[in-house]
Amino acid sequence: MPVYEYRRKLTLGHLLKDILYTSLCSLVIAVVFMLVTSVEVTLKIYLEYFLIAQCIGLSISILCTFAFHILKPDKAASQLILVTVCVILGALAGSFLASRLIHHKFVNFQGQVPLQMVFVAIILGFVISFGFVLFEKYTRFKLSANEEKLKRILLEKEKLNADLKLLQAQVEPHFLFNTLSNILSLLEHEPETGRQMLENLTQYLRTSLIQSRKPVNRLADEIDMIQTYLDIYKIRMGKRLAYTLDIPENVRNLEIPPMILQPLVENALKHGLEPKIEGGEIRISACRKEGLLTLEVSDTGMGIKEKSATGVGTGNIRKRLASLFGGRASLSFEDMTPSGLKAIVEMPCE
Amino acid sequence: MNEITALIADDEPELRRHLVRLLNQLWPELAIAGEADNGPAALDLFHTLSPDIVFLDINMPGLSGLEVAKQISRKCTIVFITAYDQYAVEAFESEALDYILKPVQKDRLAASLERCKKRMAAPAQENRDLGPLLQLLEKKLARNKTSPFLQWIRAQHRDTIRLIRVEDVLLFKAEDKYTLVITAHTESLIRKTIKELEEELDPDKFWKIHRGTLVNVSSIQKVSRFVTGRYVIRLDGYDDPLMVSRSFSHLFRQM
Repeated sequence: MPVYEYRRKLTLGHLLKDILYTSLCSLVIAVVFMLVTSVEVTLKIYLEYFLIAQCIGLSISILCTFAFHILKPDKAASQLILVTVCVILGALAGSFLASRLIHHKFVNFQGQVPLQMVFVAIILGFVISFGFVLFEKYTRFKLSANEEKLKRILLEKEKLNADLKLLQAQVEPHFLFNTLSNILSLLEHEPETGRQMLENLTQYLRTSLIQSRKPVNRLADEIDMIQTYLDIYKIRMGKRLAYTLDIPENVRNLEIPPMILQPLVENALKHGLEPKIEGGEIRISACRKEGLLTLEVSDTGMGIKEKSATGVGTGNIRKRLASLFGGRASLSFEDMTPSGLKAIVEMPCE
Repeated sequence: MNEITALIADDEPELRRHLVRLLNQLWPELAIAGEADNGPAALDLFHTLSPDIVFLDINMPGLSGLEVAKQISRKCTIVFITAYDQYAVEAFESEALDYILKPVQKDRLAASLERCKKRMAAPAQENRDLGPLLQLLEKKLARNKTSPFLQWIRAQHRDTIRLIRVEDVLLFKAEDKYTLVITAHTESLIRKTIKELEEELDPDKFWKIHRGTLVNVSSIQKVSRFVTGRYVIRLDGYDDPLMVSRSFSHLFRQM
């Protein structure tokens, strides 16, 4: 037996609504009974039936409402008992009230409470009370189903937002417009280099879109993507940028989450080398040791000042590493000598 | 009328070439006096060449376009070049500064050059002093790059200098002339004193709870009170409870 969750607070509005519903139910019952039992329908008979039905219905309903409100039973069994008691008492009281009223108004009425009437009242009272309970349970269920749906939609939206952020992170507008400017210019007088750069850009955009949507990628694929990215920068920065990749054969097939390395390389370019007049070098290396994969991105750029902002990108990497590997993965930074920054990612690998 | 000269400053060689070519097409009489690939070089060239118009990229190594412009805006007409910078573009629009967007489009550049010509044709017109305006703009653009408070701690770790994010620090503890920096995973000694740290750290994020202890407010897990009225706090990721000295207990009273 389900527990009926009655309202914690009783307001006048609730009470009026209960009365209205009960009254309507009683009206229907009265009409049905009249049609079934009486051969000829006169106003007098109709009024009698109406009065009886209303008296019994309202007695039960009001009794139930107040009894629940005052006693606040919270177990299914006690609720069942309470409803039973209320229905019986209400049916008796309502029948008695109805017969008194009718006796008063219509003298030819016998003035006694017919037993069948009380019996029928009790049965109908039960059926309708439980009908109400079931109806309320149903609406509550629908409500909570809607809430569930809303929650799911919100979750999906959050995930989409996170995906969007990831995409935005890859294709930073500054990078895109500067690269396009270069291509536009190159196409006029060095079409071969321009074409090469456009191919690199297309390749980078395509692979980063595909790879960032997968949960993990081969390290070699991530490195290939970064290499196209660096090649674009190499055309843009000319002699100011050099890079080396040190990825041994035994780590190339290891799987890593997407967008861990790329933001570090982007940082090295944006905050390390681009602001430095003479430019410098980026070095990306990977090594595997005792179940631990270590990735390093180092640059000979400007390095970090003590008040440099810590960056949304690195915060994002940390969060993702933490959610994927818990405390077994980390991102840390070291100074390079004579200048520059080294970012170190450590994560478990099989 | 004398020959009108221009200086172009952009760190990407290809983009300088592109602009030179477009300028040759749109304004053949304009003489490109020089090109610079960084901020300080642009400033030097400006002083030796004193051009009439300077095309300045915003993002340049050494000195930003805004920093260069601040020093030369009274002596020439400036056209800013930017790839994408919402704030910068908004500011240029609202202050009616000349700017062109990368990739540089021919018709937009032509419109910008027309404005330059008009401005220079009015002989009595002084060049605007953009100093104060640029100062403001620079602050706005730099705001997300640097913070007024300490963000990183440098700590010696064997033979390397490790950088610790301030937000990862649970607490700083004074140890003689040094300070112990404690995170969830590491402990390191640094040369900075607690007093220096207190001055450099964001006072909303690090509270002094004792003469020699600064704690990261966001790592406080529990605050309890002894019968004697003294507060004791526990940090997330640090085992020992920490006593709050009486003179700092006001920090916790409202909690």
